[in-house]
Amino acid sequence: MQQHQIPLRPHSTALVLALLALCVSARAKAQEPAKKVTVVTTLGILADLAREVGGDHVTVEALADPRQDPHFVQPRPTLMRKAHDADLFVELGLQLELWAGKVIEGSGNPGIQSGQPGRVVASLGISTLELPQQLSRDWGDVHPFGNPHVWLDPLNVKDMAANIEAGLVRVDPAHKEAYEEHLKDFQRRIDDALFGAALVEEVGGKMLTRQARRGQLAKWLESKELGDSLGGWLARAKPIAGRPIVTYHKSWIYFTERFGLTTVAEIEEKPGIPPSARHRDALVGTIREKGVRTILEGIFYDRSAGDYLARETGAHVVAVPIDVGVESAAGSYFELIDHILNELLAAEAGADPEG
Amino acid sequence: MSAFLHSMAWPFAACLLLAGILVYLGIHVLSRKVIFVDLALAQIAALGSVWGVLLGWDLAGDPWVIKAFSLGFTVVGAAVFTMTRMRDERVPHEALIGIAYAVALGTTILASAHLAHGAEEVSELLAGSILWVRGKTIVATAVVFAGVGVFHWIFRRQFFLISLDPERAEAENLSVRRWDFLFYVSLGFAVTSAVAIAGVLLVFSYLVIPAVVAMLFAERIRSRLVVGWIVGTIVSAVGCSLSYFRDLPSGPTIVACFGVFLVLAGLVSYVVRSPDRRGALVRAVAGTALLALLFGGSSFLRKRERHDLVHMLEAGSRSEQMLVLAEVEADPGLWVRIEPLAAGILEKGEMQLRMRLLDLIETRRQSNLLDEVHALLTDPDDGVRERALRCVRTLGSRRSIEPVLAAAAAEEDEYLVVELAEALLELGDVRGVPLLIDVLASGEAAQARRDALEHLGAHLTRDFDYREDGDPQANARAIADLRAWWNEHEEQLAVDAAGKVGLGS
Repeated sequence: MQQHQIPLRPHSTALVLALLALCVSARAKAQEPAKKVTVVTTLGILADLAREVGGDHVTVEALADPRQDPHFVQPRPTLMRKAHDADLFVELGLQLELWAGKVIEGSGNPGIQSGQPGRVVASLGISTLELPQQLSRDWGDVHPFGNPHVWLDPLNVKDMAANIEAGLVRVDPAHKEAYEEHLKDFQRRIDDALFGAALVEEVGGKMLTRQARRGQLAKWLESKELGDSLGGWLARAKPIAGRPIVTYHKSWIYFTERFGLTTVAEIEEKPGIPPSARHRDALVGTIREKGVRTILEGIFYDRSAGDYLARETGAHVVAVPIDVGVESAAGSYFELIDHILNELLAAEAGADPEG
Repeated sequence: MSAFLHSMAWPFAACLLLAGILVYLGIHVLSRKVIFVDLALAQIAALGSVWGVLLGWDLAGDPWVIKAFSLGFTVVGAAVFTMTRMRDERVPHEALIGIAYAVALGTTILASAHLAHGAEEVSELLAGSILWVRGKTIVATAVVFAGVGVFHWIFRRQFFLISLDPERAEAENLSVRRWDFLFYVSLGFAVTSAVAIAGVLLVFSYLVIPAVVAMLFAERIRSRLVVGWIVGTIVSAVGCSLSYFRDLPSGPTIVACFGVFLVLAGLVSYVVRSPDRRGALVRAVAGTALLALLFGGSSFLRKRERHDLVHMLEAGSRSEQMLVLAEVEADPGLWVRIEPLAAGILEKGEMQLRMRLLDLIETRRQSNLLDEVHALLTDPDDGVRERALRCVRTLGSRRSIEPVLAAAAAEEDEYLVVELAEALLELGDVRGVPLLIDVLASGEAAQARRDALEHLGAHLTRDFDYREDGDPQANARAIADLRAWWNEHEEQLAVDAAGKVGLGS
């Protein structure tokens, strides 16, 4: 073929080059030795768990930016494309990420639709708090499945990891043993981090977990004369156990429940509705009366309310991430809990956590 | 009352400040027919802040840089609105203002899509936070407002001329463009500061509603200003009090008060101006009554709530299901209604629900569900197994012996094996003993072995020479002895009333 007969215009050259590049990259993909399982999660914490359980056999990506409020993520075309390519889609459930439904619908990926093997609801089987206690008109519309922020209790994270493991085994049975092993290892490390390795060795993680779930751990350890063997996060949190704190949103009840803090008030009475003047004054009164030193809130909330209360009462605002993935503070779940505990301990000790 | 003053003093002061400057600017805005220009300017200012954050400046660390960005954008916006005010209005100015608002809002959302706190900051801007303002912010805002006010006082002739009568201004050789620009810039400064303490919604209301009421009742600028300020003050006071005493969010309450006030003012103005005042009064009252009737009548359309326990337990959300069980616990008479569903829930209900139901069966000693409870002794979840076992022990039926034995054979958790063994011994079956021996011999956790030893010590009349901190070989011998003893006497052993295991008579 003679060149001058078919003159190639510059942009058609570019097109040909682009097509060539596509072919080459497609070939390169085909030649990859073993395809990794593509896991897409809503939250950073779920991505972290998927990495723990999946190890080298998975590539994981979270859709939500951990610095943003996980309740509200704008569904963007890129999110749907990512969901389209997913072998496994992991969501928390409990109606936390209402936006995830739109993303999955828009993805056109049949494998990750509700009830399919490629869909994991990580909160499955986890007992939730804050279910209404009596029949009233208000029940139901707030949290029909209980408070969804379950991952801030390390014990629940073990179950979430197990749900993800089950999902991975469904879509990639070839690596079942590896996933099982990673899960066991992760659960053991959570136990070690929470209770201290020595106590886990002595008693076993499952027993400690059952006692802690029932709220009987301290009493049980006392009865077995193991009271001094407690280590890990729970031991570190001992100085602040029973302390009253104020939180912004109800994101913290699992954390406070596990570490024995008492939430005496919340700034936000109802999600998304600005508090009234009376509530504001009641907050100031409660903080003064109960000697609250810490106002705990997620980093994505407006600080004006917290700062107002801090200036009025001398309490400290502790603004921390609630999801994994914020660089330098919470790169992994272990770092996240470490970070929250450190900030809390510093605030309760009277030091300015940001100074 | 002093609590009220203490609580609402700052927000009320902020409201008065807003009324002070915005009522005045509102008269201009209405005369120029650019009602939504404040929204557009506020949104453009917000875009400026987000732009500053995008360029790496920090809202908390460099508030002045961010402020400069938002003011810079405001000035540009003012220039745009100045240039688009055409004398022969082929395109209505209001359309361009609306477009500017929409584009600025869209761009703000786009720009903040990748920001850390993007969406929240945008929504915060709309919600406002007049409740959290304190002295320092109010003083700073007052300074800005005073600056704008003094500027407008000095050049009041020019400003009113270009707002009310641009043709005459032109005829007087006044540069309409220049004064337009200065007007929009000063409006932008005032609105931006106002939005920062009160939110877009409240600022819009203060700007427009008092001015509209004033137009209904007064002709001259001066009287309109006075009426507007009076309206602003009254509504601020009523709104703040309502918000405080009825425990409602302040901003929305004030806006709603403005709405009610406007309707009342409209009715009064209608009656006063009508040539047939009596007829107008009747029509106004009748209209109001009809509206109230319609509104009140709609309460008959309230959705009836279905408190059908069975339906809620069968098809409700987790909250509703848990609620039903709580109700049944509080009112035992309700049990018969949900009993037909109990077996199904135990078999395949959600875990939290099953555990709750197990507790209920235990407290009610509902032995008729024993078979279903037995099935849960081998549930995959150790929490469920533990509860099922507790339930079995409370019910204390000898029917449980075989299921407990079967569960013990399959149980992986050594603590639960110990509990199962204890359950067997409670039920008078000696076959709990070898289970305890197994845990003592090969339990993984030291504490589980201790527990097994404790239970053996409590039940066996026969002494055996196992020491927790003793020599491992001696302990192995002790366990072997114990096993031999068990194997030899298994048939004759029995549990007495005190729970002791010995050779029966």
